[in-house]
Amino acid sequence: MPKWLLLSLAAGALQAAVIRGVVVENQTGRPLARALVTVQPVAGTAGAPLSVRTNVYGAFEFPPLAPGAYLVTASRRAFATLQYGQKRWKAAGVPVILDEAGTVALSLRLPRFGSIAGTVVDENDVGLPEHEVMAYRNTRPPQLVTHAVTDDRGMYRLWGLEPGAYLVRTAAKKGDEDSYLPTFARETSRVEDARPIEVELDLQTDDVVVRPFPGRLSSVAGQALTSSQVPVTVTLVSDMGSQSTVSDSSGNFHFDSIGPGLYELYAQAPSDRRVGGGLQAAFLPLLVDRERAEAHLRLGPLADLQILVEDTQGQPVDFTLFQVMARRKDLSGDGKPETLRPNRGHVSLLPGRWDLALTPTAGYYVAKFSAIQSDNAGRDRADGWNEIAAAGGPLTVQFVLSPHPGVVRGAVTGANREPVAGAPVYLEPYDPAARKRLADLRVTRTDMQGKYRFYGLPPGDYRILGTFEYQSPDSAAMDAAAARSVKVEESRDVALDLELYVAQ
Amino acid sequence: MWPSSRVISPRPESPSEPRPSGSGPNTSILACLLTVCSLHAAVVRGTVVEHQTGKFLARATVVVEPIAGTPGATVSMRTNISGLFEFSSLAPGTYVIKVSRPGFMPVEYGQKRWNSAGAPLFLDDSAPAFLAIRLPRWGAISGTVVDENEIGLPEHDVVAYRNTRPPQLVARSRSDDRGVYRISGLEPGAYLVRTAGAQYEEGAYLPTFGRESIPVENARLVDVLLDQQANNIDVRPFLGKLFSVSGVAIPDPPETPTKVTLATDMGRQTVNAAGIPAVFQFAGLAPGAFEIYAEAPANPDPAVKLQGAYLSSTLRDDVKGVSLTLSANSNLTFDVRGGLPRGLESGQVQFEARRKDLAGEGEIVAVKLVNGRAQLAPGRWEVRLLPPAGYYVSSFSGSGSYRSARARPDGWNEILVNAYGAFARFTLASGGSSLSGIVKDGANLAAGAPVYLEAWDPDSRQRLVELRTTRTDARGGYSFRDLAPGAYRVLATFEYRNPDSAVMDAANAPSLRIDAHSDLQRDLDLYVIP
Repeated sequence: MPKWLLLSLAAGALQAAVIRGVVVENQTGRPLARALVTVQPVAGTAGAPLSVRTNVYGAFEFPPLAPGAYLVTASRRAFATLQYGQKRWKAAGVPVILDEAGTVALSLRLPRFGSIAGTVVDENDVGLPEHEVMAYRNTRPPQLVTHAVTDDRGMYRLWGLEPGAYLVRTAAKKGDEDSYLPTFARETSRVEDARPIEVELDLQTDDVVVRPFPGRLSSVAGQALTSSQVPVTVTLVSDMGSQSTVSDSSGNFHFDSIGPGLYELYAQAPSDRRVGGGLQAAFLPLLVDRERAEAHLRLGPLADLQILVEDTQGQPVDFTLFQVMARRKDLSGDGKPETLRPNRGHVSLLPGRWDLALTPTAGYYVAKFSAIQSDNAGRDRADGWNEIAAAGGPLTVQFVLSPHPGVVRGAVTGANREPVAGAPVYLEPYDPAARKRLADLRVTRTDMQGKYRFYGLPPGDYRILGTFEYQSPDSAAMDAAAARSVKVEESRDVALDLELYVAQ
Repeated sequence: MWPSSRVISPRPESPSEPRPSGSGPNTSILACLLTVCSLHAAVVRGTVVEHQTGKFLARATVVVEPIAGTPGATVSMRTNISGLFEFSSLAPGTYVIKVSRPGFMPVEYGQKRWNSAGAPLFLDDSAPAFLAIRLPRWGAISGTVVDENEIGLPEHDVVAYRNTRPPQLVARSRSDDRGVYRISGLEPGAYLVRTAGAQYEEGAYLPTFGRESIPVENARLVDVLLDQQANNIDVRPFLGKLFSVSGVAIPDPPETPTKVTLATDMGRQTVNAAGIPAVFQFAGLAPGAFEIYAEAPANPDPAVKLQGAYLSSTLRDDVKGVSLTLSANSNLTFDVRGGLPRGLESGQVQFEARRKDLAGEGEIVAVKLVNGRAQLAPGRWEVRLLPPAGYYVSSFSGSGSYRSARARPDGWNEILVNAYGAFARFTLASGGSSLSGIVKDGANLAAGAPVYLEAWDPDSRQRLVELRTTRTDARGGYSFRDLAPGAYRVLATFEYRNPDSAVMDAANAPSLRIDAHSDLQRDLDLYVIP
């Protein structure tokens, strides 16, 4: 007998709630075979997440489930994942609520991601083949999302794009006699003048033509000197991305076909031939404004970062009670966060700019951060990313943890004052005077009784919002939804009930 | 429809020569030679445009090549922003004009059809010649890979084959998120389209010919034309089980990164196996014959030495635990029997090699010999010797090759290199035979006419060595030198730029037998398709 049946008989409850339905392609209504459908119980509903695949007719049915609330998602390769009940793209899914013998039949329509298509042409509107084209999110700096290469007709297609505003740009290209500079659609080299292109689901934005400027491209060449004769990995970074190359054994490297602008050069190599030896590195900002830019890097040992973590009494805190994350920052944006593993409080960092964040266990919050050697003397909100500059010398940072975090909790109710189960609640650390978000958004979902709880909070000003309208609202969205302000204090438990926000 | 290149200003006509009646090139060259030609410069100018739209093609390359007998060297230039070019200091004579631009089919001025040779142009100093040249684009095939509900299958490889038996792999492409694929750069002709087999999380699809056939017999033929895209060539692949081949590569030292390649009749895939152990895996494979080879640099001089391994087998189920121990001893001894002929230095004799596998032929590499030996990684290879002028390859023997009595040593010779090495022994003989003559077009001499010489086995009806090509000179004369003895066919025609054996058949190309150390004279009639 299946285990779930035994357990539910023992609990006296009957598991007969049925979730079934069909998954189709949004644009055409055609069935999507072999799509993945997942049910996730909301906190308070018995059971674990479960997945099934649709059959050849796009139909699915879950085995009988415990009564409660479930979030249903459907996905299939090359389609955008859908949360059942989401009002629009990037809205949160609404849980399906079932009692003991409830049955629900769902129709899940999966949209396709958007795409941008067009042609790269020369001055006579003739297509240019084998020209690389990139799509960037229209942020500052622009964030590279995907790229494509033009075919023999000069046509390209950038696909898999989430809805939003994008910039399209061709890469530098060197021909036998002719070179083209990186150019934004339709015909500009400046990001400020680039025309943003709107992308929507299930839609292809056509005819995005780019006419790249012919022009002289530069080369960046130089030497990366190390103490040992090892090849050096050299990376050239701009606000549009990065490329890497490996030097020869004398440290000579070069990059060809580089457009003019501001760059950063990073170099890194093993200290010696032994496997497992240390690293040596260097960093150099570079302006490319003539045909040949020279750069000389001398690699040295990595910066030694000492991480001090103390409590409010000045006592060191056990390293097992928290995690330190770091992400490299360069012209092209923020890198991927990685977890640091300090050795007796020390860690080696490659040169450049870094963000550090400390994630304490429950019961603590990050009260203060300071970088000892610099002027950075403790900001107000240290619980997010804190920027430091590593330059080769020793560096010490200090985190102060306080064991008295605040708590915010309450219930989310709907229009008829009924509790809303599985509703997303968003808590934003917010500076009301500067009108700015200070640290990453915190997210949770209400349980079966409509209750939510945020804990481990640093004291300060926040805004809070309970709504299905978004999956990750930014400050402007919180404004538009008239999010409530809430003040968190040390060791205080703030009770705050929220009305579910529904956009008009 | 074939785009024609037109001469806008008329060529000068000599009163003493009759106009040619056939469709060959102009022959007032003879008139020029009979009178005293002044050494004023000949001028040729023109425009290059996109055939389909008439748009100017800037930066197209125009090459003007004199045929033998016309003074001067080959010159080239690029069209300007309006697609214009001008050559203004050419010696009067006969030239072949070739035009190209990336993304377009290259064109020889005066060619009749897409695969014809260009007709030479006579230029003198009386008036500039103006040419209007139209470049077409290669053909393309496009369609969608769909599942049983007509939903597109993303990231599914699609392969185009020429409709030969066995089908010849031409190009490969990958479907996008909508399942749409496009294969471009295709010559006109008949093709077969086949999905390559794909493994998704939710299941696997077998290689399937369009529209819905596993065996090639029921595959849909696709006709491809220049400047056109064959659309809606959809394929609905069958669901099935695909297999994987996995194992380890064992190089020395063990941390050397190794390249491992799998070859089937669907193409090649290469992966990097690094780490200890150097694991590799090829997934999503259909049952059938396959070959695996591995290559890595070897000590003491990784720039020169290499190590390799080779394995061939048939896939019927998952193959696990393949163990490729790389050997650095696969030295191939290249030997010229009897040593190099007197008067020749080793630098004058060049060897070339290319891999041969189920996916076809690999890239040609020049073989660098050190003390008569070179390193080739284990596997199937083809090797050839490029003799200097005055010599020809008269025999070949090599390891692992089954040589039929009919095989010709002056072309590519297949050998098998195993972990312990191999040998390739050539015999160089001096003073090959030659074939020469005059090509006539009716009563006139055909100047600048292409002549093709094919080494041909009349019994097996097969081409044995790569085609040799030349063009006649200003007096219609051609010659081929340093020929190995054997059976040949020869054809003089403008109709084709690269005739295959079937074309030589259709044209009734005359057969001839060339004996050793002989000079054969053979005049030819210019072949014109009736």
